[in-house]
Amino acid sequence: MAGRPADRRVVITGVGMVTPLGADLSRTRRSLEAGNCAVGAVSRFDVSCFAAKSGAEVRDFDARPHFRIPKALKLTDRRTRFAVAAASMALADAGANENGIDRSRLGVLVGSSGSDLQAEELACAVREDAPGRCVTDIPFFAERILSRLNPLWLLVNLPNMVSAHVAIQIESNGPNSTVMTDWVAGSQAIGEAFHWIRGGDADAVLAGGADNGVLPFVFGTYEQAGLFDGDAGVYSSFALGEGAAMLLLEEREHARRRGARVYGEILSYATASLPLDCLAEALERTASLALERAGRAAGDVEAVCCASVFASPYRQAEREALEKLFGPEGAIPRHFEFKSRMGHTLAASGPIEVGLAVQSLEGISPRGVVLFNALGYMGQTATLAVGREKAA
Amino acid sequence: MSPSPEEIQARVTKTVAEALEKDVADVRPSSSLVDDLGAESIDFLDILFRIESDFDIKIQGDEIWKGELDLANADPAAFESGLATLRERMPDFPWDRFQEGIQKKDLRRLITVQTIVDFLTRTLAKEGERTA
Repeated sequence: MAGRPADRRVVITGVGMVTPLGADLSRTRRSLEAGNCAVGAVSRFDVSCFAAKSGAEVRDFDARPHFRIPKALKLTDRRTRFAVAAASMALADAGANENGIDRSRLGVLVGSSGSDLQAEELACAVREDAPGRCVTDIPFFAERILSRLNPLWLLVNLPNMVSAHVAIQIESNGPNSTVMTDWVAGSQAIGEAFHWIRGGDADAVLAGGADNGVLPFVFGTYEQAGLFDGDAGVYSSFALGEGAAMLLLEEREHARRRGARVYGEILSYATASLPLDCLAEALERTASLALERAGRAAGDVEAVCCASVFASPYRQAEREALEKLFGPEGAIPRHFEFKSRMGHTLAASGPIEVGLAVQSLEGISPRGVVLFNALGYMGQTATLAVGREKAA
Repeated sequence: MSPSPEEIQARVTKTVAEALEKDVADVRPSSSLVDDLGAESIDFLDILFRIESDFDIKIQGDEIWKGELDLANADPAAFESGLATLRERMPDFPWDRFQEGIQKKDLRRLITVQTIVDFLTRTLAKEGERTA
């Protein structure tokens, strides 16, 4: 390993994604430019029983071409298939298949909410259950599970399966981990990967998020948690989405040696966790810390990617945080968002936003910064500061 | 009534093809699950579960894989004579892939689609007799 942490800088050299707007990066971009919105009627299940009537589904997606070992498809749920496809496309985008990356120095870090525990399969296993018997009669429960649940169930549903399968399919033998901090998980995965590279644990990391919110289980549990039934349609524009984005992060000299194209540089990362009613304070703190760690001031921020788009306490908190950081509304730099076009892709949302925004950093000045905010359902916040690759 | 040998063959072929993501045409009776179809240890669990569900039977432990001769538990003499019997029973199997002889650790590679079919034919016939 060459260089001390302070000398090791982290650049983005590859982007792959599967989103409701398109099953790859170029289709997603074309769809965005055409002004499309992917939020609409849910086709995969009957939503009439739920308060939420819309979702943002990924369409025309085929995972098979992205699986080096097709047999592993049976061990994957939808979020994992999105992640494997996005990872494979990110490597191809970075030209990392031709001018190789040492697989022992390549890590994988994925944010995800976890699986839906294949609720249908579980329900089938206990379907003749007398009311509550599977809870109170353990021998009965054991007989049902042992005889009716496919023995591979665990290998599909363990929370870390998403990063495990990405590593298997792309042959990554470096560090591997999964972040499960709901909506913030993907942004934290990028932030933690940034530290892996700075600290010398890896020279390159596929980092991102993968999630699937368009499931009856998620529609049901989010409604139970009150996300769809605020006063007077407070949350009416909240739509669940699905998808994945994986970014290839590389140590800058490593990227240079192999002649890689650089989209931008991760300058810093900060995260915090405060009680939900202190969300504005938490976000202001992470954004300030990110700027400080990047060696920048508020005046260097040229754009902000907002985490929260739907009218809600989350949006209010984000507005307050930005006003504290930049002054009254007029002083807030250009801000943008993607969720109104593709729903909330949960843990995938942060990486999708970074992956899309770095496609057009050329308008940013050499010292300029783009801040990417992430707000968690339970009060976690994260901010990534991204800039153009600055001169050494 | 027990399914016919042809039906067992067809259902096993379909199950193995689905479990291992293969075309049905690539799954032949003499195909080794490990060497020809790429099965790993977890796939044996999966195939076992699918066969139990499809044929509505309960299969104990590894009985489906050990075969009628149970070579894994055979002494050296019985192991050699058992292998000779297998060679006669499995003329289509590419025995030349074991240039250095066959050890007990290689037994899993001898499990073919026909191994499963034979096991089911025996088991379902016994069940048929018992319930007749």
